[in-house]
Amino acid sequence: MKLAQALLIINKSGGLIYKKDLNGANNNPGSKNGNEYLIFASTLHSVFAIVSQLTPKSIQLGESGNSDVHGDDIIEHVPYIPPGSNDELGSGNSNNNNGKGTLGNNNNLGSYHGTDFFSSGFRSWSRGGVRQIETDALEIYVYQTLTGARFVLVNTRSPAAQSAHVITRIHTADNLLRRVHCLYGDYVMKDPFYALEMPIKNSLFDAAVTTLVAQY
Amino acid sequence: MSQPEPQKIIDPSSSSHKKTVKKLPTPLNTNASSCIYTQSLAFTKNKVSLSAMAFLFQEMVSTIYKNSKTMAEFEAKLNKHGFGIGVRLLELLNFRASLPVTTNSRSSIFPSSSSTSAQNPSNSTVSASGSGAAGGNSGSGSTTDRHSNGPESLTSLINTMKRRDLKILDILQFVHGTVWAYLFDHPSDDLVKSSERSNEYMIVDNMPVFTQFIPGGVSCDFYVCGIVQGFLTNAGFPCRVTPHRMPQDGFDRRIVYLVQFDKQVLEREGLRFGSN
Repeated sequence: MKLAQALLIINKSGGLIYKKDLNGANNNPGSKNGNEYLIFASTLHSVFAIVSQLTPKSIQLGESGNSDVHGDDIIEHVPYIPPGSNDELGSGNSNNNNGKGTLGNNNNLGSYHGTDFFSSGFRSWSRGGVRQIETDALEIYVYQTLTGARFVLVNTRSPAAQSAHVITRIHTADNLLRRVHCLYGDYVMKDPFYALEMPIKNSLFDAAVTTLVAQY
Repeated sequence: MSQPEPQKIIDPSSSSHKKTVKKLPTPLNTNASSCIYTQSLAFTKNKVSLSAMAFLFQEMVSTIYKNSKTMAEFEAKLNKHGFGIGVRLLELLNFRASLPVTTNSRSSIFPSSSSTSAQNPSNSTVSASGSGAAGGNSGSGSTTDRHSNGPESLTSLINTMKRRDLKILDILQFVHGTVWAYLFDHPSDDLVKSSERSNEYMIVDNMPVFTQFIPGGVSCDFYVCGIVQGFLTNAGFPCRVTPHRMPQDGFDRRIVYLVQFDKQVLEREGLRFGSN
C-alpha cells in the first residue's frame, strides 16, 4: 500500500514551494496542473489560519500546558514509527519498533548518524491548526514546523488505509513528513544556491524524497 | 541592525560604547585562541559536526558566488580559499606523520582502499606498496594514546623527522591517504595514473563530503581542488587540479580530482630518479 500520493511543502506565507506527484498515476483527477496545486496550497494555508482562530481556548490552553491534557484528535506527543511498518498500521503503537533500521541499511542519511533520522517520539508543533482533513476521495495530513513551513501529504482514501485508527494514521503521516523535513534540512537548507521561500528545484532533494517515500 | 541588539545587554555604566560591544564575545574568543595555541599538534580524534560544516561551507560558497561575475572567477576564488588550507596542511601533517604513535593511528586507516575498488583497465593503478609513505619511519608498536603526556613531551617522541616526499607517487600517496583521512576521515577511494598523459593523476572520491548537499555541477568541488593544489604546490610539485564528475557503480556523486603536474616536475623527477 502506498502511503503518499502527493507531497507538498508550503512556506510560511502560503506559497507552494515544492510539489511532488508520487504515484504518477491518474488516481486524483481533480488536482493535476501546477496552478491548481498553487490554489490548493494557499487555500490550505488560509484554512489553517482560520482553524487556529476557531480552536476553543480551552484546548489551546490545555495543549500548551501539559501533554496529558489534549482534545479529541489533537495529540501532543507523536510516537516513533519506523518506515515500512505501516503494514501493521491497524495493530496500534505498541509494536512499532519492529521495522527499526530499515532505513539505515541501504541509505545514506546525509548529516544524520544512526539508523534513522530520529529514533524516538517527538512533539507535534501543531497548535490548534489542521492535522488531518478527510474527504470522500482524499485524506490530507499536515505537518507543522516551528519555522512556519508546512509539509502536506495527500493520499487517496482507501479501505486498507481506513482500517487503522485515525490517530495512528496521523502519527504515521507525521513520522513520514518529519523525515521529509529532515531531508529538507539537509538538501534544501544546505544548498548555497537556494533562495529562501522560493520554489525548490533540487535534484538531490527530489531523489532523496523518492527513496524515502518508496520505503513506506 | 547589529548595533542595537547588544546595546540592550551591556551595562549602561560602561564608558565606551564600542568597547563593550566588542567585549561580549571575548570570553569565548580568548578561550578559543588560547586553546588553539596551547593545543598539542599531536593527532587527536576531533570530530566536527557535518551540519555545521555544511552550513559554513554553504555560506562561504554563496558569499563568493555573490561577489563573482563569472563562473570561472567563482571557481578561482573558491580554489584560492582551499589553497591556503593545503599550504598549512603540508606542515601539520608532515609533522604529525613524524610522531610514531600518530603515524600508527593514521596509517592504519588507509592502505586497505585501492586494492578493493574496481579498476578501469585503460588506467594503470598506482601500486599500493607505496602507501607506506606516511608510515615509512620507525613506528612504535604501541597503540596507546600518548597525547595524555602533554605537549611538552611531544618532541621527545620524535626520533626522526619524516623526510619530505620527493617522488610524485609518494606525495600523491600521502594526499590519497593521510590528507584525505585528516580531512574526510577516510582515504580517497582511488588513486589512478592517466595512461594517456604522463603528468596526469586522478584522485577519486566516491562521496564528496563538502559538496554532498549541493546539487548541480562540480563548481563547489574547486575548494577541495584548491586544498590539494595548495598542498602539492607547497611541497614543490606545482600543478593544476580540476574536478570531474564521473558517476560509477551507484555512486552518482563520484568525483575525480584530476591533478596535472607542470612539466618541470616531470623533468626533475626524470633527472633525479631516472626514467619515470
